[in-house]
Amino acid sequence: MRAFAELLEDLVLTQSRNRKIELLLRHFRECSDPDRGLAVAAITGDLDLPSVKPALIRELASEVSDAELFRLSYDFVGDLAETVSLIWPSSQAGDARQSLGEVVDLLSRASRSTAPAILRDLLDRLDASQRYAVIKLATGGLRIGVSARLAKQALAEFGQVDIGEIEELWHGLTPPYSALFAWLEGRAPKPVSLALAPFRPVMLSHAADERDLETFNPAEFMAEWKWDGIRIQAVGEGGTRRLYSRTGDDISRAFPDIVEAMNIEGAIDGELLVRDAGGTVAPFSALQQRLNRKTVSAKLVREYPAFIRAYDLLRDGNEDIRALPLPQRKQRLDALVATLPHARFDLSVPLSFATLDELRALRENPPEPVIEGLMMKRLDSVYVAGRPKGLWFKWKRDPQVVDAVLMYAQRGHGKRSGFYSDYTFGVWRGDELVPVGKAYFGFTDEELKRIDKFVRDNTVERFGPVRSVRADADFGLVLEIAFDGLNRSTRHKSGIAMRFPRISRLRWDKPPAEADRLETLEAMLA
Amino acid sequence: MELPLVISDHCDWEELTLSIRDTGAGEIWVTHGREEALVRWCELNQIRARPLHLIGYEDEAE
Repeated sequence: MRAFAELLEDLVLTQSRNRKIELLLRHFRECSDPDRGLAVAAITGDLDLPSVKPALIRELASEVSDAELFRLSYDFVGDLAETVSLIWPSSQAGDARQSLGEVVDLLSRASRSTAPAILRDLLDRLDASQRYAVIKLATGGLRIGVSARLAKQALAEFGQVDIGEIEELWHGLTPPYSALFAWLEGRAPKPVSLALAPFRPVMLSHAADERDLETFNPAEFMAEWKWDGIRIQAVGEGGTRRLYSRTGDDISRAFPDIVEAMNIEGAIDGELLVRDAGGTVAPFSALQQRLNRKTVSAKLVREYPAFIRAYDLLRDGNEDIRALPLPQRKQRLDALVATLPHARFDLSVPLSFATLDELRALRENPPEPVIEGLMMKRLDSVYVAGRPKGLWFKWKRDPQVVDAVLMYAQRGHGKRSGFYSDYTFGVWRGDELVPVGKAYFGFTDEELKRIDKFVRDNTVERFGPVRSVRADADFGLVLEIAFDGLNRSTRHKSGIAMRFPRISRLRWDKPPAEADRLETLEAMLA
Repeated sequence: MELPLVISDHCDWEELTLSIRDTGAGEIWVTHGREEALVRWCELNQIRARPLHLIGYEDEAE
């Protein structure tokens, strides 16, 4: 347990990606099975300890300290594991010899009714950093700045194999991955993935820069719309059907509507989208209703019907076609999609263009708002895992921006808790400001200090952690806000919700009277 | 005679609460920070306490 706690602590404090990989490599070398594999599972989110819930942990912490004091501390710290590990009375016994394997075993055998006593006893016996580790472990979602992909990258480096090999195998493996480690250490042959319908690592694009555009030869490329959904892979093999996210997570259970229609022998690469009542592609916010769910209700499936806009085929029947050039893969994809229910599968149709200027015009004037830009793919490109250079490009639309006025500021959490770092901003409706969104990033630490000072100097009113800031026609702070799209919203007074708003510039120079008006945003909606 | 006792705020929670205990103070006035939490701790330990809400205190920093 101590080694795992130290690993988490080190990872939290490490920024550099390479250094994080080094820490993981050291952990793999120094720890044995099953502990190191369980550590991986904790990071990749493959460890399931269903009887230990955050609510239970909060309850125990309230009991051993004080409910009110705990609430205040949690609000201040912002991280459950950190708060509980520190507020928990320090252990007397100090029986900290339990291995990670023993702790996982203990917690996985806990039932709903025995979990409170088991967890309480465990937390009593550990020190603060181990308490932190146990709580992170139990609640999943470590949020320590290490993605599942980074863990897989570390495994790949540990065994000096390609990460693609790990990703392809991953779905057939279960914690603590002893067979995987045996292979990576050269003690055993590569595990044979017995799982049907495995994931295949996806091919990614580069953002097209000026140089790419200058040398762009239209005759060598195919272009299609870039839809604002999520990248998925739909795989069917011998009656097994799986829907994967772009990182190989199995999300089948959240999309029974898609899986039901997935009568395929093969692997389709495409964009997962949701339709609105009128049948057109709904904005990302609608798709979001269906994401990050373990299961889904019939009502959600009905209200947010999902479908796949297919753009590539990796496997056709029993044949791996990744080495075929793009047009041939597309042809096979067309034939396959033609056999599927159109409501659930359709094609990403190539755009017709002859010059870069024609392409530019398309990009600036997409037919539907859910389009993020263009994808340009070399006609001779074979399907290669990872982000190969010069084959696929994304050319996104410029972000939309508006000038808004700072209205309210709220104190941040964690390391920004001393600063007013969360900003609500508004635009003019008549001669009053209406809030249209909230942003808490897009500025440097220096700028944060300056805004924080502005907030403190110009506070009109305080409501708990929120300050209302002076904002009238002649005096206030104008923020240039960039965002990726607008949705209608009944929850906001303005009737508008921004997608992914962030502060793009501070306009200290601009008088608030010159900030944008609500009508401008409404026009962008249409 | 009343004497003010000045205590630096640069210490951890445990040290802060220990200092309050050590002084044997009958009443604690909290000048700044997350006042509610310390006031709550005092309450739990039967020590009278209140936040001062000093105007401009936080704005003086830096």
